[in-house]
Amino acid sequence: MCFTGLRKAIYSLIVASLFIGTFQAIAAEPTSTVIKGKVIDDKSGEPLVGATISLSINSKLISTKSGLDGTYIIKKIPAGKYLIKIQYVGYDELTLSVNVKDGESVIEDVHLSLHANVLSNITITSKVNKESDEFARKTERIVSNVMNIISAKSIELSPDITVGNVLQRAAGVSVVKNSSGDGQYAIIRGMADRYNYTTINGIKIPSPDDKSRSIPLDIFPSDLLERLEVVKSLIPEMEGDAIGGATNMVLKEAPKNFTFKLNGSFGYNNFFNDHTFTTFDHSSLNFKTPYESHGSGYAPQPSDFNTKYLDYKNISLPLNQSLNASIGSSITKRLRFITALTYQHIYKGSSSLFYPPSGQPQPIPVPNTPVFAPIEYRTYNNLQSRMGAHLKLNYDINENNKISFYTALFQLDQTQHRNLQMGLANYLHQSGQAYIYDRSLFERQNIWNNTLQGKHQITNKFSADWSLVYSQAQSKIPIWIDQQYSDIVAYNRQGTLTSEAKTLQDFPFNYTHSKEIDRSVYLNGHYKITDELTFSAGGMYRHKTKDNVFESYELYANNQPFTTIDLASFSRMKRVDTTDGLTYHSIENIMAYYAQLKWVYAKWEVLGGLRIENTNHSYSSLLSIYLPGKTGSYVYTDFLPSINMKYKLNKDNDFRASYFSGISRPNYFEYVPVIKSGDYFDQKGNSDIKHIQSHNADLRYEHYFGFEDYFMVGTFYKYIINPIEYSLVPQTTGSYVFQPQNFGNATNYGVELVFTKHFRNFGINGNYSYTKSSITTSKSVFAVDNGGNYYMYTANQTRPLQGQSDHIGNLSLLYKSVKKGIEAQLSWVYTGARIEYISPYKDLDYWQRGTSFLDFSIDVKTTKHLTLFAKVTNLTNTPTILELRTTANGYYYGNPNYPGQTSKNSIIVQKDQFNQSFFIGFRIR
Amino acid sequence: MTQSQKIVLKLITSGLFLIFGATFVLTSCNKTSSTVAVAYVQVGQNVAPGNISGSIKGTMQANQIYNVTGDVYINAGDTLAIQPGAQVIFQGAYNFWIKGNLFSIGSSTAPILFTYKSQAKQDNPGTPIASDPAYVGLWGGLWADTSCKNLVIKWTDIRFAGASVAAAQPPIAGVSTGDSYDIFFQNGNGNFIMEDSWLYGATDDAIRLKKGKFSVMRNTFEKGGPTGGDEFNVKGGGVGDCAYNLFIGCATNGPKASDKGQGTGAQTNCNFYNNTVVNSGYRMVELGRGGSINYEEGARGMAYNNLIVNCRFGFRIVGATQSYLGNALVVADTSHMSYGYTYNYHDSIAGVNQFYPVTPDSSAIGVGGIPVSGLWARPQATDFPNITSMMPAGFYPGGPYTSSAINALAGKNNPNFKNFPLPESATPASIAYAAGFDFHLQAGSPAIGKGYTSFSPIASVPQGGYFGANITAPGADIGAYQSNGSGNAH
Repeated sequence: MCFTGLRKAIYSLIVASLFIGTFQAIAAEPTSTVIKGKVIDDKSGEPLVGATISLSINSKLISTKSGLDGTYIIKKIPAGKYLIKIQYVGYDELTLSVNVKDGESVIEDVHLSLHANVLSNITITSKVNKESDEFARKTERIVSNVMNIISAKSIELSPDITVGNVLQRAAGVSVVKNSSGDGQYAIIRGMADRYNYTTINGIKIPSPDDKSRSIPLDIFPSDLLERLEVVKSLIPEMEGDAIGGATNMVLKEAPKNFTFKLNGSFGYNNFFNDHTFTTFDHSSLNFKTPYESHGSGYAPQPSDFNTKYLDYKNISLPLNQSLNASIGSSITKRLRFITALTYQHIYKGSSSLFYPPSGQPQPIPVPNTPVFAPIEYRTYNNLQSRMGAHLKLNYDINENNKISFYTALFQLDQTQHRNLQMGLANYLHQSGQAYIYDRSLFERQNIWNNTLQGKHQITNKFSADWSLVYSQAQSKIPIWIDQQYSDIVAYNRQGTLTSEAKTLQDFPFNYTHSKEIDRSVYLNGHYKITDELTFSAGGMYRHKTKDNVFESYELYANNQPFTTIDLASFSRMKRVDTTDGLTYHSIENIMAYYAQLKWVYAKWEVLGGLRIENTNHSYSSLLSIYLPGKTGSYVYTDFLPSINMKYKLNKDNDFRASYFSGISRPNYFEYVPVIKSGDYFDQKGNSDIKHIQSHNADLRYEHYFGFEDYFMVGTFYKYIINPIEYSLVPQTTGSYVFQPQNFGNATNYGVELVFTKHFRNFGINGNYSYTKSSITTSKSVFAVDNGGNYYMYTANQTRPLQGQSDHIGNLSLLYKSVKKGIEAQLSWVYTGARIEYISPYKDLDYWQRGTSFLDFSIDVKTTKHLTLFAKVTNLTNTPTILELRTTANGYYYGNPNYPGQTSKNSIIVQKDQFNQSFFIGFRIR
Repeated sequence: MTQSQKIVLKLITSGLFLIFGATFVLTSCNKTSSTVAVAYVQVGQNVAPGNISGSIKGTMQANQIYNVTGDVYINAGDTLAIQPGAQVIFQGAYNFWIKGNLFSIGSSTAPILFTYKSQAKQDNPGTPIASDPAYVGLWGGLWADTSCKNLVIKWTDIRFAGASVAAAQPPIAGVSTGDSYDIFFQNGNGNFIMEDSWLYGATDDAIRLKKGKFSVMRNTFEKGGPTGGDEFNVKGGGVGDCAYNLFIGCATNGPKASDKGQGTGAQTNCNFYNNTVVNSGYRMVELGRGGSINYEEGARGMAYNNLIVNCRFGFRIVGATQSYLGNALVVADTSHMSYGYTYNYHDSIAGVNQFYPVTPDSSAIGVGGIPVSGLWARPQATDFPNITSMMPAGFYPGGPYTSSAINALAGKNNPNFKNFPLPESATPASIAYAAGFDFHLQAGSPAIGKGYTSFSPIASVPQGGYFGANITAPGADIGAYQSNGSGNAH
């Protein structure tokens, strides 16, 4: 037995060294008298984590536990004969005799096998925790399509508390961050949020966003998840409007046995070491807009607008809190439930240095020389109150008929005070004019999903399932005020910069409401033709309504001297604006059907078929009837074939290939041709816009070894037809309109690599993606012609898709000691340079520099039921930097009015600083 | 492989082929359809005296009264002509939406009136802005669409316009809810002619010309904008002449030229000559901005014979892309600017030091450590007074020119208006209207005979006849009022 073990160890060592040879050196122990070995399951050959290995030395009991890869080690053992006892729940206890020789540093490498005794293999499988990494890996391997899964266990251990942040740990995924530095939208394989969709338990959820279909992922607390799936290739039974991929949040399942979990934590963001957190009171909040309160014929008065929201108060100790409780149990033999509640109260601060572009670039000294308005220094004080509640009921009518109901509500209240200092006076301490803007913003976003589901095994071969869904998403901004005043500052005789004249400027009160409601029906049938062959067919229908309201009112300030907002007086309104293209009503009906075959034969598994999606979209807007496009309707049908193939080379190696056709529908407001006039160009929707279509192919090789250890390498190719991009479109009269356009075809391809390897108490996992996309669009250039006249022409620019980074990587170092009850993780996320905003002007896109974030978290299990944990994010306080990749004659580099420039080859236009955040907390289960 | 497995395999393969084949066929006949609402067109009705609203065309007759009770539309291809003495009285915040042509041709004896019902002017010194109806915007404005070929306004008195465009209202391109101008023009191939007329009051720019050929001559502009806005704001693609106008009490500038939003059209090219600009720039809070006549952001042109009296800043050309005490400057097309023969007068020492505004930022340092002003209008030897001749040795154009000799200019070189006593009895900001004053030059005024006449107007618009422009060539006297009786006839 001893020799077999040794051989196996050597064999696995060779295999491992093929992949991560260097780490083997770390794992090798210095020569001393030790007993070490590996605990594995006799049948599956998989290592067992946390088995107890004990022996007595001079009647003193010494014990240890097997590590992440099933290995254990007992050091400094005096010579003698020992009886080693190995125990593991559900397995036979085993006693082994080992002889350690005197005076010699002999390594006794022992290989142990345990036999399942009481529990059958099947029950062991069902005991597998669906929240574990192990289950996640198994699922990834079992599913027919290309998918990456993050388990609840690894979310719990990760430094992240929202789904948006968790997502950036997945292979090939990067995130777009909100003003607090939290991940908000996912970019999957370089494809921005418009190319992806989000589901809860496989059911699509509506968006609270006023402009897009995207779901802001910072709304979801990560505690409620059982796992997070990133689906990268579609199958016919999935909705077809993804080109990058789909994010599926799987919420916790109702357990058969009683479970109770509670965790809570406190935290702090050290941005507030040198900044005071300021906020405002909004306790008496009216969610209605002035028109909703008084009717659209109403002439609003200054007294309708509450300037109390501009009274800022300090929070001396902005302490973050979070509490999460879940309880689940069987009520009767047939009925069981789980309910969970999460609450987070988070203070976030950040600062941002920004050079706002000043309209169009100039033709001199070089074509398209960018020009900027004075520097802006912004300070954000964001208070996030995040709430999540979820209830799932499972009722088993009998063995063959099961019904479940779940309801989930997520709500994010964001209270923001943004202070913006514009001009050189405040930032560079030059005398002159400064502009101070104070924004008070309160936004409530919520998403509520209700699903009733049934599963029926009708005959041995035929099963069916159905879902009835009612979901709604809302966003309300009842407070959005941008108070502004100008300040003339000069040096006084004492040499200090003092304010000489503050003048209040006209300022706006904005309101937005957005409400999206989905009513959907899903029906699927599965017929097992043979053991190898399953035929499925089904369909869905969804009726979606979206109503969006935007109102803006401006108070006339009459250049009055400004002291405090309480002393300001307003005699009349300056402006009332209720159209922005964002006031619209939209209806979308989607009818989809599919047929798919799944065939498993020998080493092959093939899943393929066809999905047909019929879209019927219509909108009505506030546009004048005298202009075309007040209403519109669009009907189109897409035929979306897909095929996923898996070939099992052998026990540890799989090979996959897949193809799918996916679409992306335009955002509702992109159709609405309401004009937003501007000095440089007007903005407008485009009622001629077409939806985006695509062909996508994937290849992946997977190698599994050891316990949870694996290695995957894959490649993908996407061909995108009619991608929607914004550009300046020339009009007959010589002006330009900035509007969404279909731009021919784009391509996107890349390589992904994922690996995990454990060494006793240590683990390393990581992923890396290389992505390359290309799109050509027309852009404007300002230049001087031969006659010395300024003119503007359009030229094509080829660039990556917005949001696509060439390189994305994650690397985590794990430490786990079952014996000490410690788990720790150091995580590094790298997001390569990418285009953050597309400029209408050639070669003046805003690039985000590559960013590197380092986070740390640790769990310490103190008793059987109590775990303490700590999380630190952004250890290195990495700034996020945006830049223009233009030489622009070197004018800005070295110019004292444009501080922070580091190179003649680019102009830094934005720098955001988020500082570190700390959390400490407990977990009871 | 067993026989049954082979069959299954065949089944699968053929099934998949079938699916892909079907898809290919189906995709090729993949149908999409869309229905987008077309623009509503109401056939233009012949206009008759009384209440007017909706789509109209034809002639508004001499000396008749027309009450505007709703938005008025002039369809593309239609023409609305207004005869002398007609009165257009707005009953609410309504607009003229001009997709066709509008000819408002009054006469010196019977001007046409556009005003708000029973609203009188309040022209008293120092009336607070907040209580002056000129700055409220009681009715909307005259909005020309991209299809408007001719907007011609002669001998027409336009008062109290500037209400912001309300929700669901803008029926033309290029305008959004909340915009507020008295007159808006945007056809790069169209003609905007405004002659011998009056424009009183505004809430933002009084006239915004986004594109187009123009001739703006011999008009009187008063009370432009409460806390901002130019009287005649030319954006990218504006080409023409603006001459012999009186601008008094502008929030920011009288005429301003910028190439913002040029598009595929022409570069902004404006001749501003023989204008009289009085008491302007004081309602603009931004440092360095607002005064009299201004060129910036890629605009070019010629500026001669302008008379600038008691304005916050003198003639200004932005000469470098930099900062003016924290406010952004974007350079004009300075290689195509010519100017001179500017007559400056100011009551105060502070005012005379802004005849040629320079950027005061210490950081505006050019090549070789020489301070460079972001503002480029240099004192010219042809200007009055001739600043260059008063400067000590070592003075370089564009550099600071403050000296005791300059300070002594306060209240000196009075141009001797017929009835506008200088120095003013109150601050220049307190009088923003022309009623009761006469800006003709007295005999013997130092501005007489000092003008430059050896250049030509751009004359971009059709001339002559009833609908064409009547362009007055550069005058021998500085300012809008010529001693030979030509120029501004008000």
